[in-house]
Amino acid sequence: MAKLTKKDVLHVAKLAKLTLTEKEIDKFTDQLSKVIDYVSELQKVDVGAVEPTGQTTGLINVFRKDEIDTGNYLTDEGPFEVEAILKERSDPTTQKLRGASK
Amino acid sequence: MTIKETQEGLLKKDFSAVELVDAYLQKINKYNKDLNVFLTVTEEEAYSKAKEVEKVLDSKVTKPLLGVTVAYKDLYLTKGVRTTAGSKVLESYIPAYSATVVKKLEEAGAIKLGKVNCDAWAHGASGENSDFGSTQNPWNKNYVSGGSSSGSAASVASGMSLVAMGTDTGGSVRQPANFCGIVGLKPTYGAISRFGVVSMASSLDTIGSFGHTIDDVETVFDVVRGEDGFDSTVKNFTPKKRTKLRLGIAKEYFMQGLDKEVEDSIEEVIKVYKSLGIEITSLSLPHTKYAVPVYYIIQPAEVSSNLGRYDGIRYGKDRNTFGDEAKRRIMLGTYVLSAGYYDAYYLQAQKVRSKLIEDFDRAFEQVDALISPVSPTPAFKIGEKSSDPLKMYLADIYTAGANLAGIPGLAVPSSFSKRGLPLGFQLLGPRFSEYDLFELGKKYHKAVDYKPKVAL
Repeated sequence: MAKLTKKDVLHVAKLAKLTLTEKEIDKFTDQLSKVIDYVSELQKVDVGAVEPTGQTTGLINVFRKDEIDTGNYLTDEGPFEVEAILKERSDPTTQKLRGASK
Repeated sequence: MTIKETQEGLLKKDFSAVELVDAYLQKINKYNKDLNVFLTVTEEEAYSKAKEVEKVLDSKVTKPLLGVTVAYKDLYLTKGVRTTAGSKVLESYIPAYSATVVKKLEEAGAIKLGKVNCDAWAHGASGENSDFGSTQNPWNKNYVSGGSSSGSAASVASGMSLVAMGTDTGGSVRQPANFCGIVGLKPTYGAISRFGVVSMASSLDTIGSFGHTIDDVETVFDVVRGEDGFDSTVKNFTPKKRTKLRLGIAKEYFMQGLDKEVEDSIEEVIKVYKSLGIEITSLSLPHTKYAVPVYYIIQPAEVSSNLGRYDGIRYGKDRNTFGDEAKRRIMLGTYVLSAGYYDAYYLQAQKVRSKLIEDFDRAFEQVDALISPVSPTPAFKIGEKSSDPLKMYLADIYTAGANLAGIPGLAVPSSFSKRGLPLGFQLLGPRFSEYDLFELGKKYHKAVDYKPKVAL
């Protein structure tokens, strides 16, 4: 039987950013072990050279047209304006840089 | 009532749209406390929509769902109306936009009554995993309504709404439809846009509908299907009308563990089909027993990534607010995807998934649809399985296959058990064969002169 240890559960919880209580750790160790044991049955299936299936539509790389659609705006009034948080600098470094890029 | 009867009544002025809303709201107010179906009732919106419907009626414009009341599983985003996904994490989340399906139904003239209960994040087969309490079966309050679209099925069965929308990832429309004695459709993967519906397992999730008759479910399907530009898995399709349909019976669907009454009721249905001259073939789907294990690897894997976004920063509360079932599935999914286990679990499951699809493809070379049970038993008692997650998972045996293969399934009510609980069956067909399934289902209902019953 594929048994999960308390350590496994804590590791997985950490990966999933879940905080568990002591009681939960015990409960989930038991419950998850049972499920993992059950799904391990699949390892017995001879799959031969079959390709794995990730989705069933057969559609590949569906893109929308690169056009502005005002229907896509989440606000009723269209895009909204906010106060600028960056100010234009007038110190010598910036001016020098600007000159260089011209 | 049906959609047709409702619209005839409105046109003949037997009742007004406002009176219609009055009647449904009265029923909700009377029974909701007992059954725990609606989480949010949108009374004001319903009345203003009803007034709009009356104007449309006066202008003689016809709309396919004009005056049809609808309840949405609380997984559908509804602009300005709280959407919880049945979880405390989203207890106070108010979406800024509506799902495509909600928009399409609104444009077609439907009246939204509110948002209904479900297992949190659509994780469950009984409705008991909702963080807002379980929904009771309208036919018998001691029994579950099925899940995860528990409130959707119960709202229609109890007459609190004419139609309802749900989602089906592993049986979450068909099983509650079956437990509540109504019609439920799980469409082909990619038939209907899922834009604006809280994701559970993205390679399996489908948008389903509930109604009292197959006609009603078909009318809703006509309105909601098709591309919207927001869900790149959706494909438009032109239905092929076939005249002679052949039915198949897979022997693996009638093996041990199937309740005698369920089995007998399906035997009766098969007899009816035979008497209609429909050709019935026995065949085999050899990988059937692996459907549930494949499903409980792929689905939690996708759940763990979809629920990763709930970090307490962008939406609602933090991750400690997740209920037990969500935690279990997140951990299960994280485990099967984690280093060292990916090939043994996740990749292997994806390969067995291909084998399951091959089974169905082979079957549909011989027949146009399969007839099968929806669930091994009729509705079970509240609390009966809730302490044993694995036992609950096993009940997905007849439904999970359709999601893994991306094919449509129609749950059709037939009769009642000795205890007075609904019985029914399921029709499965190849991808985009919804209209054939409707046809076959209607043939049965016509032959037995089926009259939909409202529980309350």
